Amino acid sequence: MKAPHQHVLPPLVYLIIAVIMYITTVLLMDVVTSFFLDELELILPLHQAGLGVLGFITTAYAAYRVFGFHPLFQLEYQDWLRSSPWTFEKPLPFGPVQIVPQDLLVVGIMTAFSLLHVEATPFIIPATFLITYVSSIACVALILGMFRKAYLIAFGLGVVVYYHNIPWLSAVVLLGLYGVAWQVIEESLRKFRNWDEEWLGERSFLKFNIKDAPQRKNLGWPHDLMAPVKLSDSLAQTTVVAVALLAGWWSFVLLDVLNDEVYRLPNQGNPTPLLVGVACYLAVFRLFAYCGNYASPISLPGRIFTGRLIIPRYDYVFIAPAMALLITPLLLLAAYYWEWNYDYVVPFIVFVQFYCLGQGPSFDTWKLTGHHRIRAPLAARGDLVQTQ
Amino acid sequence: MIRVVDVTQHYGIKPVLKGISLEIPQGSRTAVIGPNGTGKSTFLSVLGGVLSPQHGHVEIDGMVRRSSVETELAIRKKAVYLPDRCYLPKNRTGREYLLAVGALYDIEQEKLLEHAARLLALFDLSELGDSPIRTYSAGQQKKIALSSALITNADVLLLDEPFSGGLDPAGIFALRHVLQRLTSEQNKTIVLTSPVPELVVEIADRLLIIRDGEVAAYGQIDDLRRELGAGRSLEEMLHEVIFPETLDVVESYFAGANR
Repeated sequence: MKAPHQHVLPPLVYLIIAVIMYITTVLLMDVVTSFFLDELELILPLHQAGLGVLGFITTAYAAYRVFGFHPLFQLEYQDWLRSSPWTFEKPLPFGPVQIVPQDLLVVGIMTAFSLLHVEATPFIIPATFLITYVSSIACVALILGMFRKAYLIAFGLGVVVYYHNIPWLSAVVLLGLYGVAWQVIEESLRKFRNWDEEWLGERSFLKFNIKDAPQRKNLGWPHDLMAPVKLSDSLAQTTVVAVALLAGWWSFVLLDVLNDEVYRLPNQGNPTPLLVGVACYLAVFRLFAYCGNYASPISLPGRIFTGRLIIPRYDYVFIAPAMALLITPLLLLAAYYWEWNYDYVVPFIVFVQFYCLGQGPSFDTWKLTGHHRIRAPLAARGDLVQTQ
Repeated sequence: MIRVVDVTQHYGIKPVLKGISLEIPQGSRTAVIGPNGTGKSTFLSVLGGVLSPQHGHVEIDGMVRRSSVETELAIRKKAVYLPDRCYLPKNRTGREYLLAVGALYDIEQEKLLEHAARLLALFDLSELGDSPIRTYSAGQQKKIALSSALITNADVLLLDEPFSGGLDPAGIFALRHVLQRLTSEQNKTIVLTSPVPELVVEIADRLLIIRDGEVAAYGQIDDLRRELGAGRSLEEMLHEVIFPETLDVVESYFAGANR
């Protein structure tokens, strides 16, 4: 058996594809920029394309190191491990999830290539690798219920991005986050045999390679909507506040980056609509998710003619998204009127929007106790057939 | 027991159900009959929890529908609703579908496998059981839909027009006997609808006749026969209660032709 650190490289074919992709991009961009430099440079920073490809390859490699090696994401591997005498103290048979010297070699080579590009600093590629790696580990933490560690990583990554102009500080924070990621890996593997199988089984993205097991989803009408199944508990207010703070913090970070002269794209507009727009889309999405199969018990003409304009046990579903949508123009107007600093107002708006969206009713409460009319799924849904 | 208390339901302006109150005892087979568009399916949808009535409420074994998350979950486990038209996952096999539905009701795996095999045999689907549902005929799809309600082992079955949808005579025969024995041997409560009285009077022990959203008659068949029949056959009596104008319409149709 090979030593674990020798197992972490992806298959040769992917390495060849990566090399071809990089060389082709660099050569192509050289040709293009030599002919149309002035015109195109105004639109796109083409000279950075090679560096972008290196960043993409590094990102893919870092994600592969987590999703390709952690048994959480490989169900056949997971089943096989369960039936084997493997224990936490032993190395994982198909290679470690933790960073090993071979990773440093790969990242080192990528960094060396990146330095061929004038804009690059030695920090870019290692930072890209670590950011993707710890983000992927945050997914592990989230799936296995280690919410505080997932939150810490998500918050810390914001610090890394915010202080990207101070590389040593970002590097220190990133190393600290790797420490958290290490703990997540250790804990997840230590508890390997106690993972809640049923909980994992419910997650369709983890079930893609289960062929014969009966799946609990997509059973059509009526069972998809009428079965005695609870989806989730209501969100605790502490969770709502924490997630809203995280959203606000990240919008603050992104606003800072997007307004930075270095990263500002030619003709870039004001990023505020983009940031506050995300929560607006979420509000609309929530409305569709809640009301898609759960219609008003009476039609609009019915409401008007019967005088029941408001149906409290149905209409309360609109309160949270309406608040999230209405708060935006109000706060923007207030900021304009009193000349508040937009760098702080926008993240605050995002915080308030997410806080509103986190308010009830929970989907279960709505689904099971709302005063609605449950509708069959659309007949046009391709994977269903209607009985006559 | 199912208790319906002063239920009024309307989608738009016109009420479909008007102040309906009644009790359906446990272990009974109740047929809801009436002409098209009189509120039979709406009534069953209210019992099934698909609709939340504008007035009144429905209780199943003392639990009020949609009163709380826990109560509604408990009711859903106890009472299964099957609409007249179902949507089935066309790429799954009949057996997979039944197993998946059974799993929703926390039925033990071994019992589930065995029950699914019995249901497929009951409806003559054993050979097709491992083929995708899209390859089934309309009647076979209806049989799988009915099986999905039966595999839940629920105490209350709310079946909207179970005998429609291309069910063949053997399927109708099997279903009638299954429903009868589920009540007599397992004390299950069955409420079903049909626009055709002859189909259901043989298996039901109670009739609920809905006309224009109101209860035209409700009770045990023998009581109804005494109350309304007075020397006539049940079919004649039902036709008179359910379709009072139909014979006149037929007469006037032929009167017009002879003119």
